[in-house]
Amino acid sequence: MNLATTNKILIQGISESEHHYLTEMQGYGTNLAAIVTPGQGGTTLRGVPVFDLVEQAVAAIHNIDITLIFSPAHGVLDAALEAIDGGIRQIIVITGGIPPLDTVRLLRKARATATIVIGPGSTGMIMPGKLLLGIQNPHFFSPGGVAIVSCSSGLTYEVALTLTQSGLGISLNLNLGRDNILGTDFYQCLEFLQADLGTEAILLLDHSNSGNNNLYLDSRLEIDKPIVAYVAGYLLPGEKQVPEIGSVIASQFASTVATTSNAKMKINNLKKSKIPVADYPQQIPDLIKKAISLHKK
Amino acid sequence: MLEVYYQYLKMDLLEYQAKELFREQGIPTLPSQRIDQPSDVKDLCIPYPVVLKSQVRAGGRGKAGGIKFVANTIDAIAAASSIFSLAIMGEFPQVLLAEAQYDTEQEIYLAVALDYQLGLPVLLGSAQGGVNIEKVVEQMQQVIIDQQFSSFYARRLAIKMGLTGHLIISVSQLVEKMYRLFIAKDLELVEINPLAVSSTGELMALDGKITVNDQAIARHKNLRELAASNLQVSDWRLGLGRWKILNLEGNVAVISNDNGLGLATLDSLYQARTKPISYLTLPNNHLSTHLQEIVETLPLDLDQVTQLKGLEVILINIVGSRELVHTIQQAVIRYLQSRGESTTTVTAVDRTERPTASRSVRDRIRSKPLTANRCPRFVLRLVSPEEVTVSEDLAALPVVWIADLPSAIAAAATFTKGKK
Repeated sequence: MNLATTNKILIQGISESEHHYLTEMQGYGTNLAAIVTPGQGGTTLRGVPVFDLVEQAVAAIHNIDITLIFSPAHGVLDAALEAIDGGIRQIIVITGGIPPLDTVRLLRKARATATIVIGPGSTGMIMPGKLLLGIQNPHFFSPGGVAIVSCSSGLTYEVALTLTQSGLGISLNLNLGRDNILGTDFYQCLEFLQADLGTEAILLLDHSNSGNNNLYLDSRLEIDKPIVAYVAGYLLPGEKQVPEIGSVIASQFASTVATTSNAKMKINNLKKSKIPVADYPQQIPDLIKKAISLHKK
Repeated sequence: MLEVYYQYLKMDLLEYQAKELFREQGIPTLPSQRIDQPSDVKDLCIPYPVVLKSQVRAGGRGKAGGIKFVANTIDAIAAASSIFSLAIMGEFPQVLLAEAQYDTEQEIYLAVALDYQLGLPVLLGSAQGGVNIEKVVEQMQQVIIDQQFSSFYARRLAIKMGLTGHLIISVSQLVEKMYRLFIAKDLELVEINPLAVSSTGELMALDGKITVNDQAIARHKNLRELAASNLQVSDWRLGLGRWKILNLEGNVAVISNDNGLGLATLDSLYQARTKPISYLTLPNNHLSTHLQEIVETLPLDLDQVTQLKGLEVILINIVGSRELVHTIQQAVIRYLQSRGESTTTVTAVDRTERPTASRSVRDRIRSKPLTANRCPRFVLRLVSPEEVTVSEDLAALPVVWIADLPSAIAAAATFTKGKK
């Protein structure tokens, strides 16, 4: 991930009812460089030039850093392929509920072209006071040194408020998305967070219904910043996976159940990596403070 | 409104529907005929003996008596009547399938599935197919489709399964057809079990299963129609719509606007030694239409959950924008006002105009008189970074408004304990 407040941002497939997100991002100082809406090329929206094709936007505005995709679920694959074709290598897919086989195709293309995909179903990211990409409500966050990586929006807001109340602020919050197959997982964010100068500590927020391989961390974790985690849903009874769909036989050999993740297993993995895990959200600020002071010693 | 509920239903197609898709794709199936009522078997175009099969989604229909072999019309009518009146796992068949019999030399298992853990499709195959799951599983082989599909993946599966000679070619060609179907229709699963191999090496899909992907179904009109025709009242009653049931002995229901937040709320209830009965995550997206969706569906959600016997408290924990918080507050007020405080019966009268399809299903649910329970207490915790106006209407309703989570949890716990 390559993030800077000067990043040139492209917006794809945004509908009229979502235009207020543009205003919100611009108000935050985000550099919206171009919008692609087929059929509306040549116009401007909130002072931003609109193009019919990504290739036209790329030709007019050089070096676009990131695209945010708002297209309807069934148009996301096409929009993302168009962005990759236009040379854009960082994609945040805001739209969720993408047909899984479209996501499979998109991620295959992304791997082949070294493109970073956040989401699908990501609310985007925020560096409080600096940069807003996506649809997060910036009013929940105050600037500080804690980076939050999460696949849940309401829980993140809850925790961000708790952190603010205890005098801790946020360096950035990255939402990985709510779909069952995701382009980026926690593990892949750590390298970037290690390098981020504004980040003093890292908070991983996960839950038992999240998709993908999130939190399959191992002890080889090479990161020189304190990490704290919370995994919601660990007290729910009977987390045994009953395949609701598909065949009982097939489910023994393929993870045909979308949410195969298990909160207790995740917590065990975290503890093996010596990462403190909070029992409830209100405990998080204390754990972070403790982890930071231990780390300084 | 039915639209909303599509995404929460299981979308297994019935065998006869799966076989229609197989035929379109050139996967061999036996001559068969759909039977809508017992008398239909008089007009059977397939020569006896035939097999009559109950068309239900539940597994194990053979053992339950849902499959019968018949040799003449008289037997067939009797068998059809008995299968129609036999519920399998609570599901009555609306249709039977009459099918020719087949001489089988070997039975094979084949499937194409989407593996969510890998984020990739996989091919599955076992040289031992059939109803004995353990035997099937013992010999199961898997091939991951990690790049663009090509025929060699299917041949790789056939070889791993230990097939030899011509079967390598014919089975791998069939697997390829299954894969094409899987991609063309955006499926979760295509399964053939058993795939019969005759003494002459001919292949025949004797039973099939197709699971439709709910996020992709909107772009497949024919799949939507097939899946909609399978909707049963039991889906709505047993499944309680979008509610997830945790423990019917419990007495707190949780509504939140986010998966993680909802689960954190449940954890906190368990920590306070309070038993949640069920929980609901409101649809969560960035479109402004989603607020309208909540207004429309929340009353139905609340109707459903208040039918649970032990329910004492509904804890609504929402953290989001001011608009969201306001919408939910208003929806709860309107629900409680329309229900009336001294509720003794829930009327079967529809509250608002709805599309005909959804009305018919809802009326079917409500045709049984509801024994209305006492109205549960509501604990509202609606948090927004902007100022939230608390409506004066709340004062007259069984609602408490609490801003911080630990206190809201404590309130829910107190209400449940006070009533025991």
